[in-house]
Amino acid sequence: MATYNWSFRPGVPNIYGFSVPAGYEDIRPDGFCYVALFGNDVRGNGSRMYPYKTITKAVSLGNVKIVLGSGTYRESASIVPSSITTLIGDGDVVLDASYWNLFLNNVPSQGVYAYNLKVIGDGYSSFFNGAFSFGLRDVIFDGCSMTMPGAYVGDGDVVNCTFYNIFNKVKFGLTERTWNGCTFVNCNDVDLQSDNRIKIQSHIFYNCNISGATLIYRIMRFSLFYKCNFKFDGSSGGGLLYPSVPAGYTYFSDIDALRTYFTTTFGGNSLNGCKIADPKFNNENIGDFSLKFDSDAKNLSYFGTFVGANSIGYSIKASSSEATGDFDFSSIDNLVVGDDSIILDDPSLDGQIETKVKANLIGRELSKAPIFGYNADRNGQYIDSIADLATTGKTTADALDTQTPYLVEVAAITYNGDIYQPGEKFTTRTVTSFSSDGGGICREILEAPQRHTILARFSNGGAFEFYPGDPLTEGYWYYVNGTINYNGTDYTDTVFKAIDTNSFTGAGEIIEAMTDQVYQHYEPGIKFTSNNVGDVRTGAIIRGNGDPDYERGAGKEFPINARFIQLKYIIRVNNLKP
Amino acid sequence: MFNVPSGQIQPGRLYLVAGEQSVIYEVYYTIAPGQTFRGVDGVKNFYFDGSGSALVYEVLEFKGGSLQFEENEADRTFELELTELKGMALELELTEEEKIVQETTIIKGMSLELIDFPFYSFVINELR
Repeated sequence: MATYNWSFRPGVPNIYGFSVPAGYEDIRPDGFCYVALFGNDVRGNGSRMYPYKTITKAVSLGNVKIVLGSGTYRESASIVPSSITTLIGDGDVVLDASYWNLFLNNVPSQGVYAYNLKVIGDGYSSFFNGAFSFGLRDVIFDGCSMTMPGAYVGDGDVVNCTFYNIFNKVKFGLTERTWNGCTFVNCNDVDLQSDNRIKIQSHIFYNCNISGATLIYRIMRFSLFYKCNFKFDGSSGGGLLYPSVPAGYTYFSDIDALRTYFTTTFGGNSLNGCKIADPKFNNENIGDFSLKFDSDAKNLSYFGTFVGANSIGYSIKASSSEATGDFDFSSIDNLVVGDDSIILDDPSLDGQIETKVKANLIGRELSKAPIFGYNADRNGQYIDSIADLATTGKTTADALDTQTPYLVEVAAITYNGDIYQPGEKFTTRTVTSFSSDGGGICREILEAPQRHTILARFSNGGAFEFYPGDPLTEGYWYYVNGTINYNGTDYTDTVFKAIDTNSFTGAGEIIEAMTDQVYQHYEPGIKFTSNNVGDVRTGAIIRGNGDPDYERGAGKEFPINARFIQLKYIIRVNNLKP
Repeated sequence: MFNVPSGQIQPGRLYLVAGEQSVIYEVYYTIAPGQTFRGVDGVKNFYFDGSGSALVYEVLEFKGGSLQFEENEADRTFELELTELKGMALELELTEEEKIVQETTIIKGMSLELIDFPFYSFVINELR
C-alpha cells in the first residue's frame, strides 16, 4: 500500500496536462522527481514510493518536474537551480519562506515554473528574481517579500494566483506574457511595467497601490478595482494603503474618472470592461477571497465567468455566536470557537466540529473547500480526518506487511540490513521481519503525514411530505421553504437541525435535508471528486478523493453536485511531525 | 512539542506559553504560562521572565473554511446582443404549370437556298 495517493502519476489526467511516464512505483520516472516530508534524501530515490525529503535534493537532479506531497516545507538553504525547475503541488503544499534567503533565484537563462502551491512567511526572501521566464498557476503568496529592489518578478505567465499582504513590489514584467485571473489584496506596490504584448485581464485589485507606464492601458481589461490608488507617471514606489494615498498617487472610486485619467495620460481607449466595485469576498480577514453569489466580480470576464483567482461560494465562518457562524455548536468536541478562530481546548486531546448543513438548491457543481489558518504540524497538530498512525505497533515477534511504511519507536531496529533509530520512517519491500536489541517497535503509517483531509457528506433532500404536527427526527437536518416555527424559533428559507422529536407550526414546507448519510474523506483546496457505484456520475458515492483507497483515472473520478452539503473537521494532536 | 525560539515569531500566528517562566513580548506584555499570545508584524523576539523551564509552542488555529462552486448558466447573466428571429421563409421548386415563358418566338423570315445547278440556269434563260 502506498503511503501517499499521488494524483500526478502515469495514466491519470491532471489539470496541468503533465504526462508522467509509465513505470514502477519504486522507480523515479524520467523527467520527474517526487518529494514528500516523509521521504528521505539518502535512502529515497525520488520515486512515488521512496520520495526525497527536500526540494534542495530534487533541484540537484537538474531539469526535472518536482512533485511535492502535502505539508509545509521549511528549508533554510538558498535554492538556486542550474536548470529549468518546475514545482507541482500534489495536495495541500505550503512553502514557508520565513527562513529563506533566495529561492529559485538568479537563473536568468532558465525557466522556473510553479503550480498549486502556497508560499508564506516574510523572511529575507526573494522569489524568482532574475528568472528570465517563468510561469505561475494556482499559487498563493501570503505575506511574502516578493523581490529584491529593482528586480523583475513578473516576467512570465501568471494565471489564477493570489498575492496577499505583499509589502514589497509585485512587478508585471515585459513582453508576450499572459497575466490572467489573479487576485491582489493589500499589495503595497503593484508595478505594471510592460509593453502592449502583455495581456493583463480578469483580475481583482483590492486595497492596492497600482502604478504603470506606457502602453499598459491597451491591454488592461475586464478587471475589478476597489479601494485602490493609482499613479501612471512612469514611476512606482508604493506606500501606505487606502484610506491613505501615497505621494503621487490618486484614489479613484469612479471608473469613468479613472478612464478619463488614463485617456488624458496615455490617449486612446482604456480599461475595457473594467469596474470599480466591492468584490464581496466571503471572508478576507482569514484570506478567503472566494466570492459571494452577488459579487460584481462574477460575470465580469469576457468569457462570462468570474474574475480573480477564486470562484463563488459560501464562507464557513467561525463565530463566537452560533447564530452568526456556520458551525453546529452541538457537534463541538474539545474546541474553543471564537471569531475567525477555532483552537483546541485541551491540547493533548483531539477535537472535532461539524458545519451546519449548507443548501445548494440549484445543484451547482462543487469546486473546492479550502481550509484557512495555521496547522501546527511541528507539534503534530493539524486538520486530518485520517489518523497518521495505527493504534498499536508491531514487535520483533510480529510479521510486517510488505510495501508498507512504518515509524520506529522506543529503540533502534534493524530491517533488511539497515539500522533505523526511533522517529525514523521506512517502507518495507519484500522482507517482513526486523530485529531490535532494545525492544524497538514498528508502528504502521496509515496515511502520509501532513496530509490534510476533511470529511463531507451529501444529500439531495427528500420530498415536501412533512406537515405541521408531524414529528421530526432528532439529529436530522431539515430545509424550510417558506416560514415555520420550531421550538419557538422561526426559520425562513433555511436549514435547521431537529434537537428533539417535536413538530413544527406554520405555513412553510419542510423536507429532510440531511439524515444519516455517511461522511467521506476529501482533500481541501482541490476540486472535490468521488468514486461512485457503477462508475457513473449518478451512482452513490463510495469514497472521496481524500480517501487513501481513492481510485484515480478516467472513468473512475466524478465531480459532485448535491443540494445539501455538510463538512466535518477533525483536529488531531498526535500526528506525525515533519 | 515544537519549541519556538525568540526571533522566529511570525505575525498573526498564535503561540502558547508553556513551562514555568512567563514571556515578555512587545516589551509591555507579560504572558503567563498557559496563556496564548499572537505575533505582531515586525516583532520577532520575546524574553523569558522567571525561573524554571521556558517554552513557547506554536498553536494550531483553524480560522474557517470555504465551500466553492463552479459557475453554471444561472450565474452567467451578462448582457449580450439578443438573437432576434424576424421570420422565416420556405422556398419551393416550381412545377411545370407554374413555369411561364416570357418571350414570343417571332419568325422574321426564311430563306431557301438552292444548289446552283447549270440545269436551273438553263430553265430561267429559256423563259425570258
